[in-house]
Amino acid sequence: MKRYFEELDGLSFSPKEKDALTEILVKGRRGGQTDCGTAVPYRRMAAAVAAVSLLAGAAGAVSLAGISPEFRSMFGISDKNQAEKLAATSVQQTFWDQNGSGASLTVKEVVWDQRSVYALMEFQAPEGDVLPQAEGTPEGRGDYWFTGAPEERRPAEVGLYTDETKTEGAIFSGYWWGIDSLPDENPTDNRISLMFHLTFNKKVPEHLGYCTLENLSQLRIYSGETGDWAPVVYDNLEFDIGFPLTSMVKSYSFTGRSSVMLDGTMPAVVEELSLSPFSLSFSLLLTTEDACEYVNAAGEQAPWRPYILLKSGTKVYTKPGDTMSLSWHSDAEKQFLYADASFYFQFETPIDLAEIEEIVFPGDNDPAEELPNGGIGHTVLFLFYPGKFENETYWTEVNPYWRQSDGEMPDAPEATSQIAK
Amino acid sequence: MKQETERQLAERLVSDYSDMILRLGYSILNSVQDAQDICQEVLLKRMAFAETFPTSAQERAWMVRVTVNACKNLRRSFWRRHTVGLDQAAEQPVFQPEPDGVLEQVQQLPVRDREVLVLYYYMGYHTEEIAGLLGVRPEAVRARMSRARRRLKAELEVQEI
Repeated sequence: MKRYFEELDGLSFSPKEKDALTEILVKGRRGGQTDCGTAVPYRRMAAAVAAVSLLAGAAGAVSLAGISPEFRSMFGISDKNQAEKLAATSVQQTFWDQNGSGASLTVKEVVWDQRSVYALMEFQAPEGDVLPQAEGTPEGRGDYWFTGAPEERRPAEVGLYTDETKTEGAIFSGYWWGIDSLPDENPTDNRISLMFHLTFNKKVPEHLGYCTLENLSQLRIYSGETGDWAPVVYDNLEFDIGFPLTSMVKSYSFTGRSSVMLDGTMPAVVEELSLSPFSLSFSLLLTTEDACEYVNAAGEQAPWRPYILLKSGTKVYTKPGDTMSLSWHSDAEKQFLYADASFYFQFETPIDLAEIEEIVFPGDNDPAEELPNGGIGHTVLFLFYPGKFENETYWTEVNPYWRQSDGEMPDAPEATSQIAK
Repeated sequence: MKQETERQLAERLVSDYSDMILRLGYSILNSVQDAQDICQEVLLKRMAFAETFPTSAQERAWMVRVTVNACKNLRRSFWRRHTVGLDQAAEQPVFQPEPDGVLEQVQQLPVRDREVLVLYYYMGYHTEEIAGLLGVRPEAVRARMSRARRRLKAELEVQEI
């Protein structure tokens, strides 16, 4: 067995790569990195904050089934059944600024599923301080942004562990997080509500039970002059916080894959599908350059994004989301091979997973009655059923729809023609 | 250091530091592609750095510090992406740690533990120097080292702290 440094020594640039790197340095420009990602921060938080803005006027509202008005508004919860599915956990843990400013950060409530963690928090400024008010904050965005220190200092870090002592940690290749403020009901006091959101491009192992946020140090405010959150209200704070992750929302991850025709025109493959009562996540394997460009250009609006068709006929749509990660791969001749992208969409309202009849990708497996030509000759690629997406528990205990409807699970062909009823 | 032309400087930086930054970046980010990006970024910053270093050791320390910071920025960025452009060298990363080897075990540790391990065991820095590079207290470095060793199944070459 090689020693640690012997193994690392095996990693090196080839002579050709070093020559190329030298040329890049001489020419003083970055070498050929096509930016395929839609990397505007806060788009996902914008959707969350926009939803919570509906909370205006609900100050002091009594929590429904123990869920805060903020989460209720964010997830579109309107009855007790939906509230119970959310499995929100009350934490109510306060952390004080370790640098002694007197500021505090309280983690109030947590909701999480197989790909995301949401934590409702409250920041309280030092006694006697009044937080300034922002002007001209774009609609759907928070006035404040709570973050770590700039590059030359210690940036903020997030982590997921099995427990508070960090016995075992999770490693993810892609994730993003942010802490955005929510609409402030009382702008004259020294407190603001914040929403922490952490999302991963892969399923979170269920044995993990603790989330940490370290080196939180700056509270910034929106500036109408510069159009960004550069102005710093508080600096050199030092918050290292953590909170337990209990009662994960019951989620289901499926093995298998299915072809799909995005918007009826762009071929792709759906895999790594996961469902929770408030989210749908999956990866897309994009097999053509056009499909990759299409997905990239569509951005957060993603008109191709699917909706849920319930057995009652109700359609539950997803909120605009964004690409978690988009990787573009090419071969030795620099020709396009494929691209893969990971998506996480939040439903407009929570759903009962037992009531799903289909996951519909518009343009592909739309219900026949919705198709312009009535469905005759329409090629259907995508199907949400046990033959393509496997999860024994889901299909036998939660949603035995296919068993009940056919008596046995069918083996569907790769593509079927949908005939008008 | 005698005055170097731009090309001489670029060739020297690539020769002296490209592999070092690649290995350091890989250890922290656990991704060869990201480490390659970091290497390019750090070397470009060095090219743009106007001052000269009195000794090569100081230049090396600068490179390490900038690499560590660049890795942290990439990890904390909202939309951490893995993109490879069509006109970039298109070889798929072929480096893989030895199955059940030491490096594979190290790469499964939390990133904070990996940072101190690679700086100590591979780069040869002492705990005080590592503390300065990471912006933490020496006690924190020693605590991370101790924790990392406990977690590792295989034995690394042990040195006196």
